[in-house]
Amino acid sequence: MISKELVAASTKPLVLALLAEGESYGYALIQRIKELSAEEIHWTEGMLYPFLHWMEEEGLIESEWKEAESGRRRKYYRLSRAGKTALRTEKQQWCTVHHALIKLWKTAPRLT
Amino acid sequence: MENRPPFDLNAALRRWRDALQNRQALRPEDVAELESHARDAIADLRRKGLTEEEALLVALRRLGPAERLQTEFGKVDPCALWLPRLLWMAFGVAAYLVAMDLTSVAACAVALAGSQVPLGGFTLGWLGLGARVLTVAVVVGAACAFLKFRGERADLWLSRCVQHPVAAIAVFTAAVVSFRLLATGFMPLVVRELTPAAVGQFFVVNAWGAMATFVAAPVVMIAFLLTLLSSRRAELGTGTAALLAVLVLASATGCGPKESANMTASETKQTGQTPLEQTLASWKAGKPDEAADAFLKLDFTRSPLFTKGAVLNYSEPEFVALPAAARDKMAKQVIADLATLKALGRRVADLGKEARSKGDVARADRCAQQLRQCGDALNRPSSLLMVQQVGKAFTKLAAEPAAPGTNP
Repeated sequence: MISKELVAASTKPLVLALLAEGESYGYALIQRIKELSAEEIHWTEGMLYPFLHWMEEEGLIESEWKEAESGRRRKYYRLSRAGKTALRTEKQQWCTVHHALIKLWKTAPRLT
Repeated sequence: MENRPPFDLNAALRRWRDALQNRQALRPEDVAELESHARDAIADLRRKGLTEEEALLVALRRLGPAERLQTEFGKVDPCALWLPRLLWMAFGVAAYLVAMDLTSVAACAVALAGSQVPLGGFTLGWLGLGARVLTVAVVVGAACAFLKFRGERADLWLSRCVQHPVAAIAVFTAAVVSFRLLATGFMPLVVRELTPAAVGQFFVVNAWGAMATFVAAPVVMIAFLLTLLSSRRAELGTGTAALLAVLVLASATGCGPKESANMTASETKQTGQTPLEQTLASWKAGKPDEAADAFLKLDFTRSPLFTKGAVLNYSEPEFVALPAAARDKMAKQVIADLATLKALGRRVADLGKEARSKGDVARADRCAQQLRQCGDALNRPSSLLMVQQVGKAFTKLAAEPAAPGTNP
């Protein structure tokens, strides 16, 4: 399981990246991240929805109530222009961290 | 178990949604989104072979209890939690002010009606206080009834307010201002209808009544909120009863002792005028000699000069605190009364001079002494400035006949 702090830090880039695949709604986002992380990352509804609302207020995403094929209404979210810019920045930063860690851990002396 | 009615998923979801809607951090839109999520989860679980009821239980369990959803939603958007609270506070303050103005309107309306009977100032004041207490009871009762029968409406109504906070605050302010205008507008009407003496008496009791209501009303409101919290609307019937008991107690302890003391003192005086007032009355009735004789027999050191509640008994701050309309009217009365008193004083001084010229030193000294004592009684720091002036004039008058009397 991923630590709480890391889940909190990674939610923004993950949501931005998930929505970059196309518009989606809360339930589908939770299912998709479970599937992608082999159930390692588990978002709770109580965390995700307020987070989505915060992102919407920040102008990173937009929402719209739409009728799904089943006839039920769902609130769909999609990336805004600012969201796409934010996704690029996030990507850069996470890649920087990722590369540094890879380099460190590959060359670091091992205890065993 | 076999006769159980079939499980109604929509009804179960509606109950869950209603419970969520009472949470302040959750906007109706949030609740709708969570419901849509729950329905998705239920559909998924059903595909895995769960019954509708099982699927519902699991899905709602995963969503977590309403308290946790509320805190989670409140964390990300503190405004969502604080705006409704702030609005409730603003609404509470507005309700308090409106209720207080309503009590003033009720007191004035009763006084206005009573003045047509006509009733005395003290009676009107007490009736006004009764009207105040009744108004508070009616307002609180109406609030109870509203929350009992329209509890869900109140929440919906609040969520609408949250969506338009500026409009909501504007409406609250408009309500407060209009009721304040209504309350202040009533005062001059009452003052116009009452006699000057009754105005003074009415405002003495009215001021106490207003103070008691201002103190008791918050107590009642807090008690109201506490009963509301503990019963969560379930047993508002008993809550209302408890509240009314608290209301009666609060108004009894808040104003009872002070006012009853006030009343016994004033009520006994109200039946008879003070000796000085009787003397002034007989002067006004056109019996100057009788009045002057009576004046010489008065004991100014023991009995009070004027009836409690009479304008002449007011202190300067008390007089200034009266509503402007009442003050104007009573100033005229004060001036008229003081004119009578001055005329009487001059007459007594003349009598003193006359006695001295006739060689009746005892009578002359009696005149001077009475004038001096009356002047001292009038010229107290607690008296109205105008009354103090008359007191000084009396002291001067008392010195006058003594000078020619002792010198030649």
